[in-house]
Amino acid sequence: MKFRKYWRAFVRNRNLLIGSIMVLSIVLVAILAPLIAPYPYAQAHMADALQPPSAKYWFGTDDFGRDTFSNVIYGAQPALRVALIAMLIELGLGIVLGLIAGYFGGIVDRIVSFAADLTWSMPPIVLSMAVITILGKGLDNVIIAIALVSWAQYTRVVRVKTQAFHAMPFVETAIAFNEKDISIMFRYIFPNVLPSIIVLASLSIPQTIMSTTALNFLGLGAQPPTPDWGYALSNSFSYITRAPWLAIFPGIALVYTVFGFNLFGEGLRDLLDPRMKV
Amino acid sequence: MSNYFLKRLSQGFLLILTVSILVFSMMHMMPGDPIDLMVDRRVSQERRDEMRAQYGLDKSLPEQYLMWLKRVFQGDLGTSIRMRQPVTKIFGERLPVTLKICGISLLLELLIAIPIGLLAAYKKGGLFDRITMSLSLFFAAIPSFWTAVMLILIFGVTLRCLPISGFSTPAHYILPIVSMVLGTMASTIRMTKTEVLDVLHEKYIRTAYAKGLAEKQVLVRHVLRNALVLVTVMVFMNIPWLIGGAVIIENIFVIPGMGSLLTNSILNQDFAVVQACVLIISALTVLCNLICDMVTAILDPRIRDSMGGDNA
Repeated sequence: MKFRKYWRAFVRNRNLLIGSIMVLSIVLVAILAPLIAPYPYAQAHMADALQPPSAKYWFGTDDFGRDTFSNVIYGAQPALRVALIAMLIELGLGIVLGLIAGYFGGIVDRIVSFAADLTWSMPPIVLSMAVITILGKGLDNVIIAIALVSWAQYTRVVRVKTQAFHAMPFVETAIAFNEKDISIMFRYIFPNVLPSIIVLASLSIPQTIMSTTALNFLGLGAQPPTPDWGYALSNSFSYITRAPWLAIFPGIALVYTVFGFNLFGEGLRDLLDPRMKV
Repeated sequence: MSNYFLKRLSQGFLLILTVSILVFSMMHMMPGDPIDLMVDRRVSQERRDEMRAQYGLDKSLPEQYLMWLKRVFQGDLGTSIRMRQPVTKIFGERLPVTLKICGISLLLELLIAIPIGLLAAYKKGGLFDRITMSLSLFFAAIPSFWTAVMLILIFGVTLRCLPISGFSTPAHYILPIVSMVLGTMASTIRMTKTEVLDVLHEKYIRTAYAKGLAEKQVLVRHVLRNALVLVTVMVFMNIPWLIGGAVIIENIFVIPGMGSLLTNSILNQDFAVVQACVLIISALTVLCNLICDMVTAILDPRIRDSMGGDNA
């Protein structure tokens, strides 16, 4: 029994360990991009257009002879920036509103839920596209669009869980003992909701990266010459038969990033989820 | 109980109303003259003024909204300035395609994901659980558009055994649907497992065991039934993502559905079509959420009581 417990703890930590290393490596690549990349990302070598991977161009070149490796390296920057900004906005909004709505109920709950339902009443990508239609194309507008879309998922989960815990004896006891509302929300309920938030947040960074990349893929976000994996992938589409490396490498970078964040989140969850240690 | 359903229905109505107001105001939130969004740039000034009067753009906003709403209910969603066709007619051709793809994908996904999630939760920590979780973690990291590109590369370009664009034979369905299912399945499996685990930790499950019920009975009558509530929520939460997935997949595989229509209309600044797409897709999603809440309430009396009883 003991062995299995330690074995599981080890597996968990391994997720966290590998995830942390992957995330750290992406952050480092983003920061050190100018040092790692052999060429500036927008530099065209027209004579070397659509070259397969070689010693000179590790991941090959695109239709303008731009180095795919440099492009992939620099692509880490917008990916991380967008994900972080959007996530901070979403989390703050989502958690606070969810706790308030779930705890107080009544009219407050109804207003918050209505706002959440409103954003939820459109598929995320469609709402983002509607926002982008109004604001115009561009990476900043993509961040706004994604944050406007995603806060509701936290609110929804936090609200439902808060409602559930509100009815539980330990919260009822706290109420009976005249504990302050804010204390019940954050000391009694919040720790119990936290695991769900972490699972959601751990899925949120990669999800945000994916949503941004998807919007860029559709040509609504980052405009060239911004180095972006989504844009690179959509561009690769025209050369899929002649230059498959254009489709493969930005995709691998994207999957590596998302997978790293997923592992990290998963490891973190297992570490912080009190019920799983029983 | 009927109180709850009535309340939920009125909520849904209010939601659609608000969405319609927002969709209507899109036109006025955009920079420039709304008339430019409705007619082509080459149209003469006289025709523009005529249109302006016809659509009541000189009237107040609430009046304009009511006129717009009336037209929508009469089935007039405007005219596409690029395709020179009524939007309603375009939708008639496009909507069934998207619904078909989404429907097949959802069905496939549930048939695969729910049993896997259940089994993984039940045998938590076992080999099956560990393999499933690792795989789903890996697949969760692959965006559907890259899956699609890789599938095209493998089956379309290298093996040349499946068509990579268009929508004429059943073989054309395979790659788009596989890409869509792979895109959302991982998270569905993970969620199912999490929710089932939650149920397994409940006290009534222990009670069920304690009173001597057979394992199978506990699983089917208590765990499955309660997990189903959460699975229902997930299914309907999934629908927006499926439609979102369809937007991307339709673009890649050049499928004439709502998703590719929406993208092309945004890129071509064909505003009437964008507005109508957002309206129809939102209305569909609201409807799905409504059904979800109804089903949840039927399955779990606690939710029904807590929501229906607060001012009864």
